[in-house]
Amino acid sequence: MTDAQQFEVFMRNYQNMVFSTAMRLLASQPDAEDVTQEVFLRAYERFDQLRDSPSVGGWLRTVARNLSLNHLSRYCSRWSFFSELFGGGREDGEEHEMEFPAEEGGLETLDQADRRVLVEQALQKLPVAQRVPLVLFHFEELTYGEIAAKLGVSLGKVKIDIFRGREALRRQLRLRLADEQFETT
Amino acid sequence: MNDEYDKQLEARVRRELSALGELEAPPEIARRVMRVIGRRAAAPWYRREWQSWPLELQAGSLAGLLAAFVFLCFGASRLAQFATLTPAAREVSGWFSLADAIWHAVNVLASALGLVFHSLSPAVVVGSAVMLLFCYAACLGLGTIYWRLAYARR
Repeated sequence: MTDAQQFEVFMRNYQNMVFSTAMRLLASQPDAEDVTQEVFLRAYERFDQLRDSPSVGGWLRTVARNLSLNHLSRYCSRWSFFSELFGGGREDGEEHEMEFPAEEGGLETLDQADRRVLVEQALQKLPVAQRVPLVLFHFEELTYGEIAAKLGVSLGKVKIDIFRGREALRRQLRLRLADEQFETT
Repeated sequence: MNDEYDKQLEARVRRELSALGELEAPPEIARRVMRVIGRRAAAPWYRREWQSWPLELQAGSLAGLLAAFVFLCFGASRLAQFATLTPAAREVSGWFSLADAIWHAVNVLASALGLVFHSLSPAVVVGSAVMLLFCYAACLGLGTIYWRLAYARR
Protein backbone atom coordinates (compact mmCIF):
# COMPACT_ATOMS: atom_id res chain seq x y z
CA MET A 1 0.00 0.00 0.00
CA THR A 2 1.23 3.49 -0.80
CA ASP A 3 1.39 6.23 1.82
CA ALA A 4 -1.72 7.85 0.40
CA GLN A 5 -3.65 4.57 0.56
CA GLN A 6 -2.50 3.97 4.13
CA PHE A 7 -3.57 7.47 5.04
CA GLU A 8 -6.98 6.93 3.50
CA VAL A 9 -7.48 3.82 5.65
CA PHE A 10 -6.26 5.75 8.70
CA MET A 11 -8.67 8.57 7.92
CA ARG A 12 -11.63 6.24 7.53
CA ASN A 13 -10.82 4.74 10.95
CA TYR A 14 -10.88 8.09 12.71
CA GLN A 15 -13.14 10.33 10.64
CA ASN A 16 -16.29 9.65 12.68
CA MET A 17 -14.55 10.53 15.92
CA VAL A 18 -13.09 13.77 14.50
CA PHE A 19 -16.33 14.74 12.79
CA SER A 20 -18.37 14.05 15.96
CA THR A 21 -16.09 16.27 18.04
CA ALA A 22 -16.34 19.13 15.55
CA MET A 23 -20.04 18.70 14.90
CA ARG A 24 -21.01 18.71 18.56
CA LEU A 25 -18.96 21.80 19.27
CA LEU A 26 -19.93 23.74 16.15
CA ALA A 27 -23.48 22.46 15.56
CA SER A 28 -23.03 23.15 11.85
CA GLN A 29 -22.33 20.42 9.33
CA PRO A 30 -20.44 22.53 6.75
CA ASP A 31 -18.21 23.99 9.49
CA ALA A 32 -17.66 20.56 11.03
CA GLU A 33 -16.69 19.19 7.60
CA ASP A 34 -14.20 22.03 7.09
CA VAL A 35 -12.65 21.41 10.51
CA THR A 36 -12.48 17.65 9.88
CA GLN A 37 -10.74 18.27 6.57
CA GLU A 38 -8.22 20.60 8.20
CA VAL A 39 -7.53 18.09 11.00
CA PHE A 40 -6.71 15.36 8.50
CA LEU A 41 -4.59 17.66 6.34
CA ARG A 42 -2.53 18.44 9.44
CA ALA A 43 -2.41 14.75 10.29
CA TYR A 44 -1.11 13.99 6.80
CA GLU A 45 1.78 16.42 7.28
CA ARG A 46 2.98 14.34 10.25
CA PHE A 47 1.64 10.98 9.23
CA ASP A 48 5.09 9.40 9.64
CA GLN A 49 4.99 10.11 13.38
CA LEU A 50 1.27 9.52 13.85
CA ARG A 51 0.71 6.23 12.08
CA ASP A 52 2.37 4.13 14.78
CA SER A 53 1.65 6.39 17.71
CA PRO A 54 -0.62 4.94 20.42
CA SER A 55 -1.89 8.43 21.22
CA VAL A 56 -3.03 9.26 17.70
CA GLY A 57 -6.71 9.27 18.71
CA GLY A 58 -6.04 11.77 21.47
CA TRP A 59 -3.97 13.94 19.11
CA LEU A 60 -6.71 14.01 16.50
CA ARG A 61 -9.38 14.74 19.09
CA THR A 62 -7.32 17.57 20.61
CA VAL A 63 -6.64 19.16 17.21
CA ALA A 64 -10.32 18.85 16.26
CA ARG A 65 -11.36 20.43 19.54
CA ASN A 66 -8.87 23.29 19.28
CA LEU A 67 -9.70 24.04 15.64
CA SER A 68 -13.42 24.00 16.46
CA LEU A 69 -12.93 26.40 19.36
CA ASN A 70 -10.74 28.64 17.18
CA HIS A 71 -13.46 28.61 14.56
CA LEU A 72 -16.07 29.58 17.14
CA SER A 73 -13.95 32.37 18.56
CA ARG A 74 -13.15 33.74 15.12
CA TYR A 75 -16.55 33.60 13.52
CA CYS A 76 -19.19 33.38 16.26
CA SER A 77 -17.77 36.11 18.49
CA ARG A 78 -17.42 38.44 15.54
CA TRP A 79 -20.93 37.61 14.41
CA SER A 80 -22.37 37.98 17.90
CA PHE A 81 -20.54 41.31 18.38
CA PHE A 82 -22.14 42.78 15.29
CA SER A 83 -25.53 41.18 15.86
CA GLU A 84 -25.63 42.52 19.42
CA LEU A 85 -24.50 45.90 18.16
CA PHE A 86 -27.53 46.03 15.91
CA GLY A 87 -29.87 44.62 18.54
CA GLY A 88 -30.21 41.12 17.12
CA GLY A 89 -28.79 37.73 17.95
CA ARG A 90 -29.22 35.61 20.98
CA GLU A 91 -26.85 32.83 19.94
CA ASP A 92 -24.53 33.47 22.80
CA GLY A 93 -27.04 34.90 25.16
CA GLU A 94 -29.48 33.59 27.69
CA GLU A 95 -31.27 30.35 27.39
CA HIS A 96 -34.32 30.42 25.16
CA GLU A 97 -37.19 28.08 24.52
CA MET A 98 -36.71 25.62 21.67
CA GLU A 99 -39.31 24.03 19.48
CA PHE A 100 -38.78 20.35 20.06
CA PRO A 101 -40.87 17.57 18.58
CA ALA A 102 -40.69 15.16 21.53
CA GLU A 103 -43.40 12.64 22.11
CA GLU A 104 -45.86 13.19 24.92
CA GLY A 105 -44.11 10.72 27.22
CA GLY A 106 -40.64 12.17 26.55
CA LEU A 107 -37.65 10.00 25.58
CA GLU A 108 -38.73 7.03 27.65
CA THR A 109 -41.25 5.92 25.03
CA LEU A 110 -38.86 6.04 22.05
CA ASP A 111 -36.51 3.39 20.71
CA GLN A 112 -32.75 3.82 20.94
CA ALA A 113 -32.20 5.20 17.41
CA ASP A 114 -34.93 7.82 17.72
CA ARG A 115 -33.67 8.76 21.16
CA ARG A 116 -30.20 9.44 19.78
CA VAL A 117 -31.53 11.61 16.98
CA LEU A 118 -33.61 13.66 19.39
CA VAL A 119 -30.79 14.07 21.91
CA GLU A 120 -28.38 15.15 19.14
CA GLN A 121 -30.93 17.66 17.87
CA ALA A 122 -31.55 19.04 21.34
CA LEU A 123 -27.82 19.35 21.91
CA GLN A 124 -27.32 21.21 18.64
CA LYS A 125 -30.12 23.62 19.44
CA LEU A 126 -28.56 24.73 22.69
CA PRO A 127 -27.07 28.25 22.65
CA VAL A 128 -23.35 28.13 21.96
CA ALA A 129 -22.53 29.43 25.46
CA GLN A 130 -24.19 26.35 26.95
CA ARG A 131 -23.42 23.78 24.29
CA VAL A 132 -19.67 24.28 24.16
CA PRO A 133 -18.92 23.86 27.89
CA LEU A 134 -21.44 21.01 28.11
CA VAL A 135 -19.77 19.16 25.22
CA LEU A 136 -16.31 19.82 26.63
CA PHE A 137 -17.42 18.40 29.99
CA HIS A 138 -19.41 15.36 28.88
CA PHE A 139 -17.73 14.35 25.63
CA GLU A 140 -14.21 15.72 25.93
CA GLU A 141 -14.07 14.93 29.65
CA LEU A 142 -12.44 18.20 30.63
CA THR A 143 -12.81 19.48 34.18
CA TYR A 144 -14.62 22.72 34.99
CA GLY A 145 -11.24 24.40 35.54
CA GLU A 146 -9.85 23.21 32.22
CA ILE A 147 -12.99 24.40 30.42
CA ALA A 148 -12.78 27.82 32.10
CA ALA A 149 -9.13 28.16 31.08
CA LYS A 150 -9.80 27.02 27.52
CA LEU A 151 -12.76 29.34 27.02
CA GLY A 152 -11.22 32.26 28.89
CA VAL A 153 -14.20 32.64 31.24
CA SER A 154 -14.65 32.30 34.99
CA LEU A 155 -15.18 28.98 36.73
CA GLY A 156 -18.55 30.20 38.01
CA LYS A 157 -19.75 31.00 34.50
CA VAL A 158 -18.73 27.57 33.26
CA LYS A 159 -20.68 25.86 36.08
CA ILE A 160 -23.75 27.98 35.49
CA ASP A 161 -23.66 27.51 31.71
CA ILE A 162 -23.28 23.75 32.06
CA PHE A 163 -26.11 23.63 34.59
CA ARG A 164 -28.35 25.68 32.28
CA GLY A 165 -27.44 23.47 29.34
CA ARG A 166 -28.34 20.32 31.27
CA GLU A 167 -31.53 21.92 32.49
CA ALA A 168 -32.49 22.92 28.94
CA LEU A 169 -31.81 19.36 27.75
CA ARG A 170 -33.85 17.90 30.60
CA ARG A 171 -36.77 20.15 29.84
CA GLN A 172 -36.69 19.67 26.10
CA LEU A 173 -36.23 15.93 26.29
CA ARG A 174 -38.59 15.65 29.27
CA LEU A 175 -36.09 13.58 31.17
CA ARG A 176 -37.20 12.16 34.49
CA LEU A 177 -34.75 12.28 37.35
CA ALA A 178 -34.36 9.48 39.87
CA ASP A 179 -36.15 11.49 42.51
CA GLU A 180 -39.63 12.31 41.20
CA GLN A 181 -40.04 15.37 43.42
CA PHE A 182 -37.62 17.21 41.15
CA GLU A 183 -39.60 16.45 38.03
CA THR A 184 -41.38 19.56 36.85
CA THR A 185 -42.80 18.65 33.46
CA MET B 1 -28.43 25.38 42.53
CA ASN B 2 -29.51 22.50 44.75
CA ASP B 3 -26.57 20.06 45.13
CA GLU B 4 -28.68 16.93 45.18
CA TYR B 5 -30.72 18.06 42.20
CA ASP B 6 -27.56 19.05 40.36
CA LYS B 7 -26.02 15.61 40.90
CA GLN B 8 -29.12 13.83 39.69
CA LEU B 9 -29.37 16.10 36.69
CA GLU B 10 -25.71 15.55 35.81
CA ALA B 11 -26.08 11.78 36.11
CA ARG B 12 -29.24 11.76 34.00
CA VAL B 13 -27.77 13.94 31.23
CA ARG B 14 -24.54 11.94 31.30
CA ARG B 15 -26.53 8.75 30.77
CA GLU B 16 -28.27 10.18 27.73
CA LEU B 17 -25.15 11.71 26.22
CA SER B 18 -22.93 8.68 26.77
CA ALA B 19 -25.47 6.56 24.87
CA LEU B 20 -25.02 8.73 21.78
CA GLY B 21 -21.83 7.26 20.36
CA GLU B 22 -20.12 8.78 17.34
CA LEU B 23 -21.80 10.61 14.50
CA GLU B 24 -21.21 9.27 11.04
CA ALA B 25 -18.96 11.51 8.97
CA PRO B 26 -20.20 12.25 5.44
CA PRO B 27 -18.26 9.98 3.04
CA GLU B 28 -17.24 12.92 0.83
CA ILE B 29 -14.93 14.27 3.56
CA ALA B 30 -12.36 11.54 2.89
CA ARG B 31 -12.58 12.21 -0.84
CA ARG B 32 -12.16 15.95 -0.28
CA VAL B 33 -9.09 15.42 1.88
CA MET B 34 -7.50 13.02 -0.60
CA ARG B 35 -8.20 15.45 -3.43
CA VAL B 36 -6.47 18.30 -1.57
CA ILE B 37 -3.52 16.04 -0.70
CA GLY B 38 -3.21 14.97 -4.33
CA ARG B 39 -3.34 18.55 -5.56
CA ARG B 40 -0.70 19.65 -3.07
CA ALA B 41 1.57 16.73 -3.90
CA ALA B 42 1.33 17.46 -7.62
CA ALA B 43 2.23 21.13 -7.24
CA PRO B 44 5.91 22.07 -7.78
CA TRP B 45 7.73 23.45 -4.72
CA TYR B 46 7.52 27.07 -5.85
CA ARG B 47 3.73 26.87 -6.05
CA ARG B 48 3.37 25.57 -2.50
CA GLU B 49 3.19 27.68 0.65
CA TRP B 50 6.57 29.18 1.54
CA GLN B 51 6.48 27.31 4.89
CA SER B 52 6.48 23.98 3.09
CA TRP B 53 9.50 24.74 0.90
CA PRO B 54 12.70 22.74 1.61
CA LEU B 55 14.79 24.38 4.36
CA GLU B 56 17.68 25.29 2.05
CA LEU B 57 15.29 26.99 -0.37
CA GLN B 58 13.67 28.91 2.48
CA ALA B 59 17.10 30.12 3.67
CA GLY B 60 18.19 30.88 0.10
CA SER B 61 15.04 32.86 -0.70
CA LEU B 62 15.40 34.89 2.50
CA ALA B 63 19.05 35.65 1.76
CA GLY B 64 18.16 36.55 -1.84
CA LEU B 65 15.42 38.94 -0.76
CA LEU B 66 17.73 40.56 1.77
CA ALA B 67 20.48 40.95 -0.82
CA ALA B 68 18.03 42.42 -3.32
CA PHE B 69 16.83 44.91 -0.74
CA VAL B 70 20.38 46.00 0.11
CA PHE B 71 21.29 46.20 -3.57
CA LEU B 72 18.28 48.29 -4.45
CA CYS B 73 18.70 50.67 -1.53
CA PHE B 74 22.43 51.32 -1.72
CA GLY B 75 23.67 49.85 -4.99
CA ALA B 76 21.39 51.89 -7.20
CA SER B 77 22.59 55.20 -5.84
CA ARG B 78 26.26 54.13 -6.20
CA LEU B 79 25.65 52.94 -9.73
CA ALA B 80 24.30 56.33 -10.72
CA GLN B 81 27.67 57.87 -9.92
CA PHE B 82 29.38 55.71 -12.58
CA ALA B 83 26.68 56.12 -15.16
CA THR B 84 28.65 58.73 -17.08
CA LEU B 85 31.79 56.54 -17.42
CA THR B 86 30.69 53.85 -19.88
CA PRO B 87 27.65 53.19 -22.06
CA ALA B 88 27.13 49.81 -20.32
CA ALA B 89 27.05 51.46 -16.91
CA ARG B 90 24.62 54.03 -18.27
CA GLU B 91 22.41 51.21 -19.58
CA VAL B 92 22.44 49.33 -16.27
CA SER B 93 21.85 52.54 -14.37
CA GLY B 94 18.77 53.14 -16.49
CA TRP B 95 17.26 49.84 -15.33
CA PHE B 96 17.49 50.98 -11.74
CA SER B 97 16.53 54.58 -12.31
CA LEU B 98 13.33 54.15 -10.30
CA ALA B 99 15.19 52.75 -7.26
CA ASP B 100 17.73 55.54 -7.66
CA ALA B 101 14.95 58.13 -7.82
CA ILE B 102 13.35 56.69 -4.68
CA TRP B 103 16.72 56.74 -2.92
CA HIS B 104 17.25 60.38 -3.87
CA ALA B 105 13.70 61.33 -2.85
CA VAL B 106 14.24 59.73 0.56
CA ASN B 107 17.55 61.60 0.90
CA VAL B 108 15.94 64.92 -0.02
CA LEU B 109 13.05 64.31 2.35
CA ALA B 110 15.45 63.44 5.17
CA SER B 111 17.49 66.60 4.49
CA ALA B 112 14.33 68.73 4.47
CA LEU B 113 13.18 67.21 7.74
CA GLY B 114 16.65 67.87 9.21
CA LEU B 115 16.45 71.51 8.16
CA VAL B 116 12.96 71.91 9.62
CA PHE B 117 14.07 70.22 12.81
CA HIS B 118 17.01 72.61 13.22
CA SER B 119 14.98 75.71 12.44
CA LEU B 120 12.21 74.94 14.94
CA SER B 121 12.40 75.83 18.60
CA PRO B 122 12.94 72.88 20.99
CA ALA B 123 9.50 73.45 22.54
CA VAL B 124 7.76 72.93 19.19
CA VAL B 125 9.84 69.82 18.48
CA VAL B 126 9.06 68.33 21.90
CA GLY B 127 5.38 69.29 21.54
CA SER B 128 5.17 67.61 18.13
CA ALA B 129 6.87 64.50 19.44
CA VAL B 130 4.43 64.34 22.36
CA MET B 131 1.50 64.83 19.99
CA LEU B 132 2.78 62.02 17.75
CA LEU B 133 3.17 59.72 20.74
CA PHE B 134 -0.32 60.62 21.90
CA CYS B 135 -1.80 59.84 18.46
CA TYR B 136 0.06 56.53 18.39
CA ALA B 137 -1.20 55.63 21.89
CA ALA B 138 -4.75 56.61 20.90
CA CYS B 139 -4.62 54.35 17.82
CA LEU B 140 -3.26 51.52 19.94
CA GLY B 141 -5.95 52.04 22.57
CA LEU B 142 -8.80 52.18 20.06
CA GLY B 143 -7.45 49.08 18.34
CA THR B 144 -7.28 47.25 21.66
CA ILE B 145 -10.83 48.24 22.59
CA TYR B 146 -12.09 47.07 19.20
CA TRP B 147 -10.20 43.78 19.54
CA ARG B 148 -11.56 43.16 23.04
CA LEU B 149 -15.12 43.92 21.99
CA ALA B 150 -15.03 42.02 18.73
CA TYR B 151 -13.26 38.93 19.96
CA ALA B 152 -14.39 38.77 23.59
CA ARG B 153 -15.88 35.45 24.62
CA ARG B 154 -19.17 36.12 26.27
